Amino acid sequence: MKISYNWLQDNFGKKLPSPEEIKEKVIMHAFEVESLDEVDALGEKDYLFDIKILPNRAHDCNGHLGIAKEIAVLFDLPIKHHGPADFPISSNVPAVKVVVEDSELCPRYMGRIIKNIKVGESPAWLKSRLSAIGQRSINNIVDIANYVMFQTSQPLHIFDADKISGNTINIRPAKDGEKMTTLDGKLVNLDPLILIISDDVDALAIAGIKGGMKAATTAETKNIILESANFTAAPIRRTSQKIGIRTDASFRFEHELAPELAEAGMAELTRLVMELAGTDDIEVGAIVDIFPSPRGIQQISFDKIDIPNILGISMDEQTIESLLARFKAHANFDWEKDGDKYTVMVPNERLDLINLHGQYSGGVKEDIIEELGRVNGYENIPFVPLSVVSQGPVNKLRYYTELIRDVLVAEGFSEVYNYSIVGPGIAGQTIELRNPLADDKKYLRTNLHEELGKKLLFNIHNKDLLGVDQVRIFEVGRVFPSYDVDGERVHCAIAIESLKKQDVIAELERIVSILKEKTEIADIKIIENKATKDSGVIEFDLEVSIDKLPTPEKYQDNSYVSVDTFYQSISLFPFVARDIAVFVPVEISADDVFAIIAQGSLVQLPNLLINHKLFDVFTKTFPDGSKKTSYAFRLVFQAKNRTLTGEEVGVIMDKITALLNSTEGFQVR
Amino acid sequence: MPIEESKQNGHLHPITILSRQMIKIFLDLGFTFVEAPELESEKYNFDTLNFPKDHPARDMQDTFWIKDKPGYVLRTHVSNTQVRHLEKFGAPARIVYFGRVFRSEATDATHEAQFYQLECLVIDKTSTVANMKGMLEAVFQRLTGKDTKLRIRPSFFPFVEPGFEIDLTCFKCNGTGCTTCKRTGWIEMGGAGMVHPAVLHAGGVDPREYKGFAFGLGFDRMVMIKYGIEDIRHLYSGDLRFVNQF
Repeated sequence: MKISYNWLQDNFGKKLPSPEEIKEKVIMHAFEVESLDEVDALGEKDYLFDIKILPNRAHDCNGHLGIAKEIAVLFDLPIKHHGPADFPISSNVPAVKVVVEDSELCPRYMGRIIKNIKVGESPAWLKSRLSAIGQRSINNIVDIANYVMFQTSQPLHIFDADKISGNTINIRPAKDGEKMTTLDGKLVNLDPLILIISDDVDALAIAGIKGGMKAATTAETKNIILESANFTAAPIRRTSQKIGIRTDASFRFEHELAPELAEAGMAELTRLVMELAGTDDIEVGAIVDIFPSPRGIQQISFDKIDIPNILGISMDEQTIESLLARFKAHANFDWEKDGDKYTVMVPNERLDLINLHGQYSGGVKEDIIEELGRVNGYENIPFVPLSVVSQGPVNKLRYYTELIRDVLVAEGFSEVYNYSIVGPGIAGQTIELRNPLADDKKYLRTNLHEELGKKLLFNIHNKDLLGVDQVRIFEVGRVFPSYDVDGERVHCAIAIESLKKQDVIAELERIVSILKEKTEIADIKIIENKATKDSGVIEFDLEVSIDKLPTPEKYQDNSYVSVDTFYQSISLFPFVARDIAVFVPVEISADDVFAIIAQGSLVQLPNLLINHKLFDVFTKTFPDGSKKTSYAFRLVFQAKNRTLTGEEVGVIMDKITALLNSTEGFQVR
Repeated sequence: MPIEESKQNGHLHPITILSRQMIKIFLDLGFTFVEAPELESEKYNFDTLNFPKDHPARDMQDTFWIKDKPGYVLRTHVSNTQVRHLEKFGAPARIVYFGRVFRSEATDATHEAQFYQLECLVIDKTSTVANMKGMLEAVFQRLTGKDTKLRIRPSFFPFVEPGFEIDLTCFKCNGTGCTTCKRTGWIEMGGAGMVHPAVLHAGGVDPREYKGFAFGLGFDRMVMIKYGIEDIRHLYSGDLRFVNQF
């Protein structure tokens, strides 16, 4: 919600604290303030807060008055209220006739006719306020309706009274085949699930969402009908989604507004129309108010002892009562006291404090204690340790999952996490999403090995970069092998690269036997066992495998926890691998040789030599009787910011070769 | 001749590493580790957690719905564990749970349609917001160092009342202000609150007798901050150039 500092100030008689002070106070006691910026509001300096209003306060705080009340309570500063506008109701103006077909959909409808207004330019202050929150000025009538919504949270609408066929405003479901053109020229096909405002012939507005062209006000409008109504949240939400129109009004209605708010909206709307669009001949009609089921006042009782019981901090009576007094003075609450029991009367617009959705759902003592606690300051609540209890039982699945992870890591496997939502699947047999993000990602994975196999091949391409002898990966995760909603299982899969010198099937069998031995899972339930020329994979159902095993008494101490890692982003550019072999005197070690290679690589900075691997060592006796050792290294080069050229790597290799050859007794092969 | 291959250890995924550390801290405090399914009914994901039907609070969590299985979703939070556990084991409870959750969100460097959450739940006759503050500060001090400070701010989640946002002093700059904490000195760590009476009631626990608190955090973000990982998608890339750094 965009909130203008000057606009807030309009709601107070006294000078407000600075925008920065307000921001800090609001963050710690009410809402998250996502930003605060100085803005130029048509030549007037203003500050704009972007305040995150969560659904619990979307009933009363999507307007400046709601936020002003919060600030009033937090700083104990009185709100400046406009008295009721002093004007006679004209008997010449007929009361508008309103017919609400279903008050479940429209709990309240207020209408009023005003005659002889003058449409024109808005005053500078109004344009400035609207501009500060990003709204463009149209004319005084449109601006007033907008302004009152952004002030009170109550959406409003103004019809041109002279464009209405007949003299009745109907609030009814649309008929099949009915159509309406919106104010911005969009033709909407209506149906009986859409609630509309109509005259005797046509749709005038889609209730709570968007006005129509037929009775739109224009520069020539003289006589108007004001609407301040309440529409039920869920149907507004469904209609708005269906017709794809979301407005500031529909946004507010779909978060549920109190019907009582319509009164404040109508009063403010009337006052401003008279003040800013009035003529000497203006005539204001009576309000027609269709409100068949007003609610009672919500009362919430709490005991003094409930405060320490919930918050963990006691408040004396004086503190409690001074907090309640602030809510009463500035935010329409009321309260009374009977011994240690307090009863709070909640203002209608605070739907978050009202029981609307069944037992315990709202209107509970916790709701009021939250209000007292946050205004008093959560920073005043001490840090108290939790009572100590003995260790709970071991979770068998977790015990074995972590054990398997450790065993596999010790066997050279690295762990990957793949996506649960995948491409492959069979409609009607694989669990499918109703609303996937993309058509090629709509099924839940039925196994781990398919994705794991793909990731193995991907990693084999980077083998030199990884510097491993064999690429080995595994995953433990939840899969959905059956079409049953209860068919979710925990599986584990491993995948290894095929090597020329190794029988991949025998190697997989060896790993399974190590797993059995080290985890003491005797019966590993293998559901996939596959070897190809590139790779071998095994997948097993972990839950079934451990089903018959007893729950261990305590967790293993999982050894592979973090040493502090310094993460470096991965270069997206290709790497280049080059081999180099060198004869050296037998007393020289591989480390000595690499030290020289590393020094040679520094010819180019930053250093592009990012990995190396010693892959071959042998000792040879030469015809002259001398013995030399050959070390062969694979060197891997890569840049962070570009693709390396052959020449570039060549320069580095030349330097390394030259440096090796210049060392006593060294000879590059 | 080729050199004798030395045995090389593999690497755990960073989410595994950090979750092990954090879960261990909870186990040491007497918490029991429990799990709940990823494919979940609306009952446990929303209804019993005090999300009214057709309410915009459900929009806070863009939900994946299951086709042809009415009333089923991919869980949007691990909080689906709460009422499942209470129904089965009742009160008191002191549990920690961790797992994969799903949101129907467009993917970018900081958003994924799948991510991990860790949550804990304490239900007994005595716990208060003061205990929540005390316990959480102790947990994070064990994880990130004893200088770490914690503060709570008002927030809203349907299944708690009062609800809080949990901030920690930035463990990158020790609260002096850096890019990680956007120069505020504080990092938003997760949501918390006193368990809503409606949730206890739904779990068959009498809210007049029992109370407690819950705390949950988005784990991927925590891992990213801890290691300075710039893109959440690395976590699910299966790329050993990434994993093998840990």
